[in-house]
Amino acid sequence: MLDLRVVDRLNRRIGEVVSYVFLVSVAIMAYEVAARYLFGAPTIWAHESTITLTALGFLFGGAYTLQRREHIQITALYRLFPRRVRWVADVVAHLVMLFYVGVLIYAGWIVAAKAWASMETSASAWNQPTPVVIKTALVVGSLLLALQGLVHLLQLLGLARRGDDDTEAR
Amino acid sequence: MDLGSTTVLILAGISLLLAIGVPLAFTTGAVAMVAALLAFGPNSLTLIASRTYSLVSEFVLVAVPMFILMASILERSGVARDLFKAMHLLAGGLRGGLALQTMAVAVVMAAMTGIIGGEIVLLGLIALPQMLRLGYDRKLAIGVVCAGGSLGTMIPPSIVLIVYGLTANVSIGDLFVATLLPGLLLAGLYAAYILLRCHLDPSLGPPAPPEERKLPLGEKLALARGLLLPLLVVVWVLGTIYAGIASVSEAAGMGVLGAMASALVRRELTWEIVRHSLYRTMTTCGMLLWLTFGANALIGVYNLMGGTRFIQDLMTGLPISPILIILMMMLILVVLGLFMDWIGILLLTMPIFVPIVVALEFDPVWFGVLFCMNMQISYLTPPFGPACFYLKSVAPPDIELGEIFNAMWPFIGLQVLGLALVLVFPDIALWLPRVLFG
Repeated sequence: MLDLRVVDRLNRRIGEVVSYVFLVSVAIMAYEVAARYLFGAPTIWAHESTITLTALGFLFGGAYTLQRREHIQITALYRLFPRRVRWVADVVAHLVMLFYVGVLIYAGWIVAAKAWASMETSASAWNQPTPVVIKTALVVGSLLLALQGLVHLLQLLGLARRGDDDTEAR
Repeated sequence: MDLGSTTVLILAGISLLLAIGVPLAFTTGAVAMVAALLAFGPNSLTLIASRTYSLVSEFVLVAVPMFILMASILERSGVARDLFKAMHLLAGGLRGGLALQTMAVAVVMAAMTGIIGGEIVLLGLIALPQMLRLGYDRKLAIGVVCAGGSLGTMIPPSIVLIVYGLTANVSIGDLFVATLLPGLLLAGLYAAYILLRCHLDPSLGPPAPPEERKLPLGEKLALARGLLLPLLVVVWVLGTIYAGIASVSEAAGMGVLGAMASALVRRELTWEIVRHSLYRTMTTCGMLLWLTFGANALIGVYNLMGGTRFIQDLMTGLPISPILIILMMMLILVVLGLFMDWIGILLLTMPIFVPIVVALEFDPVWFGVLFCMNMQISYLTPPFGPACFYLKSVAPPDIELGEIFNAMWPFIGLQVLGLALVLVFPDIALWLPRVLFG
């Protein structure tokens, strides 16, 4: 049996580290407000860097949320299914998810590659390649999400060892 | 294939996938991808990725994690407990006083948080055991906690309003001002109901014994000191938005700073609290945003097919008066609210409904308030009222889910009354923004 719990640990760790972007955003906004009202000199970088940072949080948040199994489902009917049917439904659900995220990776890749090729910048006063960062994060965040989904699927099929923290999956 | 059958197919696909338990975020996303592939071919897929990119590049979205972080920090501190204690000194002696003070705490907490869940859990842990101990009517006590705790997304700040503003292209500042009075109206209706019930039958909510309501002056002062800063944070955050000094996102960011400062003054600020609040923010954002990506993709594809236009023509072509169309939308929202979460409903219906509302010459801000009130109902209604599940997770074990749902009916009635009032008298919502912003 495969032991892929390393993916769980990886996604958890990445999610935890990336979550600090929100704290850094608070600091940047505080600096911007102080700069504007106390020193009368607003920055040109605060606005965009906050957007970029929180976007990283959002894009990487998908995989972290999946690892913690906190994506919203409607379980009304699901709970009425017998065990066997539930298992089939779970497998289908994971395949649907992998299809969606797979296509998103493909589409995101094309968009990101285009941004890289021209080193696309934000066309603002600051004019930094923030679009490249965000578009790349969409691909990487989706990849991590797909990876986590794949591990869950393999665990479901009995091909991989279950995580320590989700003996009672869902 | 004509648009009618495509629409039916899309709806059927969504229902089927949701029924077997596919998370909403991936259901809408997968259906969007299939629809895009079939209708426009693989080249259209990059459009979906580009839409996701523009979505996360919106500055107003920054407010979402900020308000969640602010609420997580305040919820982890002892502010709610102290607030409850302070209110007890004021209202504990009244008939139904404990329920009233719970409602008052709920309103203040609602002005600190913009999301449902945390507040109900807190009230369920702090207020519910106290009411039960005093021999309150169980239904009344349960109802107050769930209905009051749900006000978090009604009284600004509110994540529901931020997402609505973004989807409907309406100023979030306007929305924050417009929901204030309707939110207080709901709280007022709940309070009036508590007073009336306990007046007619004093055994429903006995007053607290006097010795419980005595506190040495020194402790009173300490209590007041601990509450001063958190309350100032609320006034500050909403004040800067109302006065137009800060954008909603910046105000929210300053709110986080304020929440940390109050926790620091209360000597409750630890690295543990900050860390866990950040993790909570990450999962809540991951959940909300990925849901938004999926729905945004689906609406984008549907729009491209001309679907939005199609539904709009269908509805405005109905031989009924405009207000009946609004009523019909409200009914659709209530029905969807029985099964779905507010975010799913908002993202899937509002891009279609709001243009119709505007075409009928109604105010989209007013409609946003109506939507928000409608979602208050959805929190309480069985079979999936999230408020009831949050309470169940912390309530004493002898309180069954069935009993919780049973306790909701009077409060659902009051919510419908509140909704009807704002529907008939739009000025309850629109008067304050007019006065403030002209």
